[in-house]
Amino acid sequence: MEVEEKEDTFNVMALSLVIVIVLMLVSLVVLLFITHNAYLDAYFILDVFFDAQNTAASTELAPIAFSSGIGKFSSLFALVVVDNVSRILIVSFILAAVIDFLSYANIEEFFNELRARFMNGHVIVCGYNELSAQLIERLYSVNKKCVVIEQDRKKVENVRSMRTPILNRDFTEEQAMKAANISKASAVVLASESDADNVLGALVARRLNSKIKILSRLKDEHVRKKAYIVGADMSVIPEHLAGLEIGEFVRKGMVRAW
Amino acid sequence: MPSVLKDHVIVCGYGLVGEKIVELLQQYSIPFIVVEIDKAKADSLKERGLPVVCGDATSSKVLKEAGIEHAKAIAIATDDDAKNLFTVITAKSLNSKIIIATRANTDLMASKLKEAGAGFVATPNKSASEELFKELSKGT
Repeated sequence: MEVEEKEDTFNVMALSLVIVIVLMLVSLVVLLFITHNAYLDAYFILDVFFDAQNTAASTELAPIAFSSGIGKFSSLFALVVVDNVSRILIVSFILAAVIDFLSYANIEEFFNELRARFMNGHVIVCGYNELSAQLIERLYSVNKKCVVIEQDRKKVENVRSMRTPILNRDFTEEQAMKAANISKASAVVLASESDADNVLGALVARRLNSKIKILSRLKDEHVRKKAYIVGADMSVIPEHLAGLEIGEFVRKGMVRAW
Repeated sequence: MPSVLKDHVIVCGYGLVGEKIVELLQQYSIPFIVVEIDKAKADSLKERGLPVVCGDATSSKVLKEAGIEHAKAIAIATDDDAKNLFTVITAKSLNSKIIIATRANTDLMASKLKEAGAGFVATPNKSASEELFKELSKGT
């Protein structure tokens, strides 16, 4: 009788081990296919292990299994397997759905807008390029906070920074300026390479905040007047500034040479 | 016309930068000649009475035509960094004493142009960001 019980115990342990291994493998395959997320895989393997062990060792199941022979125990464990596999599938699908939803809702954008909402006295930089990147660096050197509005995701892909909230929106739209919290901003810099967009951006910014400082980058001298009419306070033409600097250097050099 | 010029400035490229350089040189009555690759633009400048050589500023022949051997300075203002670098090297080889000022689109290119012999390099974006920053810093 004692020998039989020992054999039963050994069989139970062996079967438990096989079930646990099978569950781990099943969970791994399911999770790899559904979530493609290594962290979640690891979590679920542990979860399955925990569940299988708990079920097998629970006070209700263990005595039945140990007292009724290996046949009944096997059928009982088959139920455990089905129970755990179904749990894995259900939870995996729920998680996959949640992940899908989060990526669709663009959680990063949501948090960036949330950060912008809590800013005060910040600078809104419209358009991300070499000029705005340099300006943002300068502003951060004096602890001035910025929000960037850039519609082209490719332009800001490599410049994701914890310091600067980037809103993937069209800055010529009121909603984009509102999302950047224009009512509490101290200035707007329209730095895109399109004069038309910059003028339109100035118009929108002025309409939403009559006291805000509006600075614009331009290419065409003739657009300057239009920018001021719609509300810009100051404008710069980068190429003209460079031209003046070169001209001034040459002039001074000529004077010295003479 | 180009051959008679002496102690003048050669302005390479009549774009937004070149236009401003010419404006400033005219203001101070400094003699200059423009090298412009675009024939239509060169013709238009000629019509306005400005001294022009139509051609590629990276070419020694064109620079010689603009009188580089007797020039005091050269202002290279095209928006092509590689061409500007090439022009700097060519100008330096034709006149080792010439004052060279140019433009660059990036800081990295600016340092390369200086290494090549440019005495001054302006970066439009850097200049503009400085100007905007000054304005934003006012009253804070």
